[in-house]
Formats: sequence, structure tokens, C-alpha cells
Amino acid sequence: MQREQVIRTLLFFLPSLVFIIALTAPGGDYAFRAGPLAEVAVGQLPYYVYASDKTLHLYSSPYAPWPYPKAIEVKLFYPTTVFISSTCGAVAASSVGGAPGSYFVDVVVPPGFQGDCWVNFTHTSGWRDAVLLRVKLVDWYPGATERAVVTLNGSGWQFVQVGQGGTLYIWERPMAQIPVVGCVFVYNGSVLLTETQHYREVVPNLIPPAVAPSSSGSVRYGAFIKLDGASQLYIYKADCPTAPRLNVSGPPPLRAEIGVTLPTPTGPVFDMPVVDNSVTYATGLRVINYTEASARIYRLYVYTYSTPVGLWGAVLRFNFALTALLTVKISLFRPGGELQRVGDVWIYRVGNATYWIYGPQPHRLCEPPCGVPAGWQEPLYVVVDPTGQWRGWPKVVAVRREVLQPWRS
Amino acid sequence: MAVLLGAAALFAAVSIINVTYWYVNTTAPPVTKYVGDDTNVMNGTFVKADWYYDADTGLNITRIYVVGVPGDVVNITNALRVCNNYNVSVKVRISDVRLLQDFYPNNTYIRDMVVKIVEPPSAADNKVQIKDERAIDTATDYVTLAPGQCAILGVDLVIDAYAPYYKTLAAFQINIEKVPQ
Repeated sequence: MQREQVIRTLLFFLPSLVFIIALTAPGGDYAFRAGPLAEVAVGQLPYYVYASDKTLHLYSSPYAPWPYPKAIEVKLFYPTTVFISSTCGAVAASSVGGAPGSYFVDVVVPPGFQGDCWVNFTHTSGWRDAVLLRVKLVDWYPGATERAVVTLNGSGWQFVQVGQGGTLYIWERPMAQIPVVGCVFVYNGSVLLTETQHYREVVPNLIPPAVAPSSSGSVRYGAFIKLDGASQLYIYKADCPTAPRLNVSGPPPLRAEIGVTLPTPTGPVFDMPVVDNSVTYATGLRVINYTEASARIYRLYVYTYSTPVGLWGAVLRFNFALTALLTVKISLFRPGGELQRVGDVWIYRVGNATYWIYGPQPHRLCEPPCGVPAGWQEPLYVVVDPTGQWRGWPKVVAVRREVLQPWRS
Repeated sequence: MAVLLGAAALFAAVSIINVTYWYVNTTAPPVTKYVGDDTNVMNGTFVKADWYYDADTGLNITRIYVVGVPGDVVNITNALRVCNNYNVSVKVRISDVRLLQDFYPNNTYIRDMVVKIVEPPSAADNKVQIKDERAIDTATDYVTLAPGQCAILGVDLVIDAYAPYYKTLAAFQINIEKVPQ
């Protein structure tokens, strides 16, 4: 072969070889690129994670996996795939990659884990990198940044609710203002089953508002706790944990003497309410029956609710017309028995059942006659204990706010 | 952008709030009720009156006791005086009669009770009536009281002869309406 033929062959063959390699290589023209395969860096972290170099100081929770979305970023410079593994099962994805670009890896720390955990990134070429997760177990609900710590002192089952405005309700009765509103209740080391129920103002612009359960409106989150002395309830600013709906039967009918005695030309009559409309709502924990009723000189807004703990409750709100009538009996609620005053509540005992009532005096005989009430009366909050074991509303001893801070800085 | 401006103009509004403040003061009632002269008969055996305060409603409630004699007709001509306190005339009438309490619901002891405006005698209908413990006439016409003038109310009572002695039989709410002129 002559020298010119060799030169001509090389001039044709070498570019063709390069072209064929570029065409057939999995990475295309990346086959001729120099530099690292990929870079592993810290991704998008919440403020409570301290990161140094490729070490993340994370929290874990005893209650649930603690997710750190997009915690690690992998910048891939080649069209290839990087394999991922974790020594603690913190990464669900087994690989990232495909086209060159930036990829985020979600980290989910398993519940109860504490210690060091490596997240390893490897490639068949021998390239490798790693991120160290230093994990501290903390008594905190995962993902929440703040919580309210409510110290309650009481006994027995209590139904606690938190309204969007920060009001803490116990058996529907407003008891305190708390600084954090959320749907996660942790008590005695357990995440509680919760309900979500809307409430609306049945008549707008009243002070205090006349509210009732509704299909829309302001949300309250509720849960049941069983108190035994002073203890702390933690309310986290977090979405409701998923839970099955409990099978709870509806509340019993509200059997009670309700009304006022009115004078009429033909004799005194007892002005009892007649139901206008009634709606039932089923939450995850309760069945609520809301009823509006009317009588000659007042309108009654009442809801009763059943619970999975044996007790049941009711809230009654009266709106009386302004009249010049006298009466000898005002019975806002009297299920029977003698009315007793114990502390700031009223109590009826009927058989084995005890009716606990907070609000205006539920039953009164006027001798001499007294005026019929006028306008909106304060709400009556009723808790009915069929067994006689309940001991009343608890005391709210203290309320404070706690914010999650990085455990190393 | 034009659509957005149009939407903004649609929702734009001007409101002006005028601030007022309301003093709530008090004055004397237009009329004052006084016991009638018949309260002096037998030391108030047949008529006496007092008042009490209902703390829950804030009402001042006048209580009048009238006493009948079972089997006899009792005419009390000066049971209660209602006097105009104002320096303008006031119209007065009995506006409502209702049975408030019946202490013997199984018996009809109050056979007849007529409360009437004895003075001034200007009302065409000057009486209300309770017959067999049911109010059958519940309002009078107005009488006009000049400043300082008093209306005098009387009561006629017929109590069943078999009614018990020294007992309260029933209580009626009788409202007196006052309209300053």
C-alpha cells in the first residue's frame, strides 16, 4: 500500500470510527467527555436540619417515619444511572439517573431509629460517594415544626378539640386559647385517633358566637384522652393522621324538660320546643345530631353527640324573644332529679346516669314569678355519664408553645 | 390586563362610616303605681301591694294581693292608683290579662274577677274580666291622664263558696300600658 493510500485510509477511517463510536455509545458524545461522573450534595432541607459537608443531622420519631423530601441532590454529568443504598433503610429509591441533570433523593428516617446511617451512591464504573445521616430520636411528631403543650388536670375520658382560631374545647366547651393549631394529638406516648368536623355560625355576628356542627365552615380537630391526674397533651401543627372511622351509634334522644311556663288568658302553658329541622353528621369518632327547634317565645339550637367511650354530650343555645311576660318555671334543661351546684357546674343524677352541665342555671322555679329570659342565653354544655364514673371537666393548668430546633448547630 | 382592570372596577367600592355614640340615660317612669285607699280598710286585709326586683331580668315587678270572700261579692273600688309623673299627658290602659298560676287547677274557684278603671270614667271599655279563671276580656280603652292626675283601678271579685279560706287561689299577670303624649 502506498503512502498516499495509507494517509487517505486513515483520514477516512478515523473520523468514521469516531462517528460510529459517538453514534453507538450509550452516552453518545459523552463518551469523549472528561470529569467526574456525578456530584452528591445536600439538597433542600428544613430549618431544623443541620448540614455540614455531606453530613446531615436529622431527627427520627417514635410515632412515624420522618420524611425529608429532596434532602440529597445528585448532579449527574453522564447519561447513566447511579445506584443508591442506605444502611438504615432511609432511602426508598434504588437508583437515580437516566439523562444528565439534577436529581433529588427523598430521605425517610424509619421510626425509632437513632445513630449513624450511610446513604451510599455507587456506579458500575467504580465511582462512589456517600452521605452520612446522623439521626437523633426525639419525642416529636415527624414533619411538624411546632407544637402546643397543654397540661391538663382531671380524670376520666375527655373529648378535646382545637378550633382554627386556637380555641381549646373540652366536651365542646371553650376552655383556653392555645398557640398552635393542628390535627395531630399525642398523649401518653401515642398518636390519637382524630376527627375533623366543620362548625358554622347558625346566626352570624353574635358574641359569643352561636356555632353548630355543619358540613362546611370553620374546622375543629378532636380526639379523646383518658386523664388520670395532671398530664400533658401535645398538639402538633400537622395534617391529620389517616385512621379508620370508628363504628359509633348515634346519640340517644335528648329526654328532658325544656321550656318555660307562660301565662295565657286561659291558663299557664308550658312552652315546649317543636323540632323544625334536624341533620346528622358522622365524624371519625362521633355521630352528631344537630336540631333547630322553635317554641312560642324562643328558638332552640341544640346538638347532641355520641362517643366511642360511653359518654355522650349536648350543647343547647336558646334565643328568647323580648317579652313582658312573667313565668314561674324556666327549664332550659332538666332530665329529671334534683339540680345540684358543684363548683362551677350543675349536676343532675337520674338513676345511674349523671348529667354534668356548664352554663346558666338549667332549671329554676320562680316564687314569686320572674321575668321570662330575653335574648340569647349563654350556651349550656352537657356531658352525660351513664355510669356515674366521670368527674367533670378537667382544669387547663398550663399552655405553652414549643418549636423544633436543630439538635446540632 | 383589560379584563383584570374591568374586574377590579367591578369589585371596587367606596364606603363611608359615620361614627356615632349613644348615651344611655334614665328618667322616671311616666306613671307611678300607688296602693289605693282601700288598702287602709282593715289594715289591708282586702288589698295590699308591694314590689320586688327580678335580678335575672332586671325587672321591677309590682305585686298586688286582692282578697275575696268565698260565697260573697266583693267590690274594691280603690285598689290601685296609677299617677302621671310627666308634665305632659299620658294615655293609660290595661293591655293584657293572663293566668300565670292556678294553685287549684282541678277547681274553678274564681268565678268572676273584673278589674276596671274607675277614674277617670272616660273609657268606653273600662274593664277587663276573668270568668271562671279564664280571661275573656283582656284590654280596656285608653284613658288620658293630665300631668299629676291619677287613674284609680278597682276590682270586683266573686269567689266560689266552696273555695278554701286563707289560701292563694291563682295569680294573674295584668299589664298596664303607658303612652306619653
